[in-house]
Amino acid sequence: MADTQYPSHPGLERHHSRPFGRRRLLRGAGVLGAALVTATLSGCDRTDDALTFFFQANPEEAAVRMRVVDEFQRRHPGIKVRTVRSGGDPMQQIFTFCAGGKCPDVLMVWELTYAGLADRGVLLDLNTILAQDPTYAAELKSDSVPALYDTFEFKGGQYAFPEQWSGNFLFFNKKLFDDANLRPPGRWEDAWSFAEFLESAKALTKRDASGTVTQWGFVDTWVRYYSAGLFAMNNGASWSSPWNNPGRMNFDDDAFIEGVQFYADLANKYQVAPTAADQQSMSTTDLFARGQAAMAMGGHWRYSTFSEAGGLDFDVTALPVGPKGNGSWSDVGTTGLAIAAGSPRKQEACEFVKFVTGPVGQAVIAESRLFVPTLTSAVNSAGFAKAHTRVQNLDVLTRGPARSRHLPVTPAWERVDALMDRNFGPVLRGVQSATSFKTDLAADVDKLLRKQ
Amino acid sequence: MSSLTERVIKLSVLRAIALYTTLIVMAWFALFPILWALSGSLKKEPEVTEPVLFPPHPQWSNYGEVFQLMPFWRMFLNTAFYAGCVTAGQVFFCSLAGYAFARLRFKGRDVLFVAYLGTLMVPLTVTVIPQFILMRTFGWTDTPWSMIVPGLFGSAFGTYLMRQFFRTLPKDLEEAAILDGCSPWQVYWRVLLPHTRPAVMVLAVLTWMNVWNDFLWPLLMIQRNSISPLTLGLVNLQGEYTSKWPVLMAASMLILLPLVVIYAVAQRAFIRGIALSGLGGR
Amino acid sequence: MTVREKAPAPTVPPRTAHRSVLARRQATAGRIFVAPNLLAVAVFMLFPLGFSLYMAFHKWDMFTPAKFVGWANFHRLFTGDPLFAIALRNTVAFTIGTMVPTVVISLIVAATLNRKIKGIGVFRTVLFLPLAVSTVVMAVVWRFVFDTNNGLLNIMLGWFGIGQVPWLVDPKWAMVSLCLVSIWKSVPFATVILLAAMQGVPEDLYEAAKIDGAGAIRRFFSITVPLIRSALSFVVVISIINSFQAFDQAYVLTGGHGGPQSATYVFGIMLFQNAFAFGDVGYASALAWVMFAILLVVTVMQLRFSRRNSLEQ
Repeated sequence: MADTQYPSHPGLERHHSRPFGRRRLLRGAGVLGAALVTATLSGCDRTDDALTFFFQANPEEAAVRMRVVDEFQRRHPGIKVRTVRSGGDPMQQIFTFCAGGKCPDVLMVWELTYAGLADRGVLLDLNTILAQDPTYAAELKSDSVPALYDTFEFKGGQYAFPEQWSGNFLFFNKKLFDDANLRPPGRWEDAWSFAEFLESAKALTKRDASGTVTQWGFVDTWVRYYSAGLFAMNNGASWSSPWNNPGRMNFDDDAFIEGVQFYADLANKYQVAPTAADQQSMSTTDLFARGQAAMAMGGHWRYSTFSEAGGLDFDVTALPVGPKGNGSWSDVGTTGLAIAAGSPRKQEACEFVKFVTGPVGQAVIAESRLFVPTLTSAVNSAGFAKAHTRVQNLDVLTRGPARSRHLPVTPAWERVDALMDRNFGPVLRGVQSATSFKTDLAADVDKLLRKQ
Repeated sequence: MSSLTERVIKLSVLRAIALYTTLIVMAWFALFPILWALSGSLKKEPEVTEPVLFPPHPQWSNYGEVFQLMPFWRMFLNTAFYAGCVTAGQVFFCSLAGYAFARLRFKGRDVLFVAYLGTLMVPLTVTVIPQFILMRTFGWTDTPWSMIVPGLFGSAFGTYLMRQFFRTLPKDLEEAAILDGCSPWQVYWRVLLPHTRPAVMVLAVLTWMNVWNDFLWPLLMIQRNSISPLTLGLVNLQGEYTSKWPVLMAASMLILLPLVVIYAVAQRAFIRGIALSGLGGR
Repeated sequence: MTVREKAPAPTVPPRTAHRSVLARRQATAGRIFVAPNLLAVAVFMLFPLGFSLYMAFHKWDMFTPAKFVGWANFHRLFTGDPLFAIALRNTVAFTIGTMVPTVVISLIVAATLNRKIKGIGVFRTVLFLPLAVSTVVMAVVWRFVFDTNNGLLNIMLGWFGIGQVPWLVDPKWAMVSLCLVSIWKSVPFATVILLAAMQGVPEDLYEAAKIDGAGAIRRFFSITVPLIRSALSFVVVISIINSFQAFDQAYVLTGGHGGPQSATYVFGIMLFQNAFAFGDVGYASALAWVMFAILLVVTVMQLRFSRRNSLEQ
């Protein structure tokens, strides 16, 4: 280290006679510090022995979730529940929290992403709970919708109990449809074709004098590349074979490509749906809520937002069927509640999970309109119907769980998802045709899955 | 006045105008995002799409909404607490070690210092994962300790800064004190520390800002809102309310404000400190 | 290091004894003073350094036991992972695209601020303001500014008749947007350093050059720039090191997946994604060490280049 020459200090003499007021400063800092410490630590959660419950919810959903939690605490006064709300990327947060050693006791998990956690032993195999309580187990099995329940079975273990059906369907604006003299189908079985859907969307897209769109025919409130895949599924293609722990994806299937291309064309070719750029300044959910979109694709998690939007008269209908499709299907969208394998509060967690996913909790959920419940008894209950009087095509909701097809369940989903995001991007923006999947996406995904 | 003088005056006026114009344009580029955020924070949601800088009916209620949507004061206190603790610790322990490296002779001192310098080169990305594992081993994930302890006892950079500065102080001060019989601690505490104000200011402001603005580390460590800092709160807010621009901008302004105040107050010392500490002269 | 010692008084045993007691006190104090700091550096810097190197040779997901895989991670980085090439390309583009404009702009700004005209203090305060702003907050605000249909940038472009630019949606423009935010944030710091260095240049040099008839620009390039060389190289090195590891602004501006078509998929994002989204901590550590190696080479080359230049002077 060379001993370089540093400039002398011009202010040194001045400082010599005015030494900093150190003692005063220290005393002041000490007082401030003590105040801050007491303020912070006193606010620290004394409920460190509380059950932590991690979930993601939009603001309207969150309010209802808290009602369910409060109901649980009312019935189980000895158990305190602390909720941890998720930010933008729940899976990454779950992974980070659990890797950091502080896994939340009860976790909301998604059908697409739970397998990675299960494979790593992060989640408790709930079959152990069922073994302890055979009557409950039998009830659950008989009342559950099989498709939803089986989604959470992986390599022989049951890693979550489903709490809702969050598959996608179409919300539509009744007033706009009536004004245009159009009527979408009322049941999954009476579904319309891609062509009929497109015609309606075209008729319901309105522009002003300068050419800017004032009313969109169709908006998507889900993840765009997933929705594209859902259209593909309704064109007769399944995403993977088999669906549980697959060895390959069917992204290069002609039917799959055709479905994705149709979805992409809605925005780019037919211009009945906004492009990604259009969506930047106003979210698609807001567009539909303000009556500026005739149809919105989404799941029940949007229901509360739409029913609280002033002046919006909406209903639900089935997804359109492509030329190669055989009937209209939704996705087995489901979230479930899982318990952390390393949780020190397994008993309480059990109680909580059994409450929310069992008959009592599901009934509360049905009445409160938070979700479409997964237990058949709750779905068909009067409480559920009463909570959804705005909607005439209630069949779409009640029969939804049964009319669902599985999406892939694989521990490698995070990587598959990243690949999908990258490859669907240019297709959805219209700069590339979906046939590119045959070369790029399919090869990459296969390589990924083979390594599993 | 001769025409030559007239021309000279006109030239200097023109030059002044050009200079001030350039400065104003530069200032605009430095300020416009903040101004735009301010104006956005005062608009109603549909107004956000209008290119007006000053909305006709400023919606101060947006600021109120921030407090409803996130526990702002809690997060503010948390951030201030973390920043305060780490800054105090850094200043104290780095100046102590810096003094030792600069003025006290002990075996292995120079070798040790070279090792310190080596760690300055290490990018954050290399150490972040093991630090995550360390926190897990200590059980400090999701606790305030994870935000405070790693920085509390100082860092290599801070020690380097203080050491360089101590070396520029004249030796007579110390020597007089030593002759008077002061112990090394007294020399440090009573005699030299008062003169290290510029470097201490630089270190304090830099450390405070780094902790206040830290994002990646809280993203990995913190789960509970009750101990979450502001940066994490803001990004979570953005995740939930992606297009609710007025509220997001209001939250951003609220987070900006304290730092801007500190900057306005400490700016002189900070900038002078950078110059004096010889950072730019390496 | 040269040590300026007072000439010792004629050696008398008590004096020497006193001196060695003094020396011992110094040494003990020195060790005690350094100890806490050293502990922190050892635990939070040196240990992680070693541990991450160790992890780079293993496959680990932080839940199941780690498995030794030798050079497999590095092998995969360089041959089996198309994302590495993408990240490398993006990071290099981002680093150059941030560093060069930062240096150029901050040179100009520092030169403009290096005057004693009225109100210069106010302008300095204003221009250094972005120093105080958090990267995360700025990224949130810039997302608003970059909005395609209604963001301020496109509005300002509209005043000049230029059409709308899809800043954050189009892959090409996404990288430009990221660079713009980083430049906006780095220019003030660089300006502070360069301005301080410029203020150290003696006035008489300028006077002499003026008398010799050199214009302002000629004076700038022949006098100012050479004399602030070391500050310039410091700015360049810091800029490179920071850009190489950038994470905050990329994550907040374009998300954890690296933006549209991975246009803003830089090393910082790749590391985060592999470690905390995919759970492949060994691979991420290998990546971190590769980044470290690249940075080391670049910095050493830069130092050697600047030293050779200053020798030539």
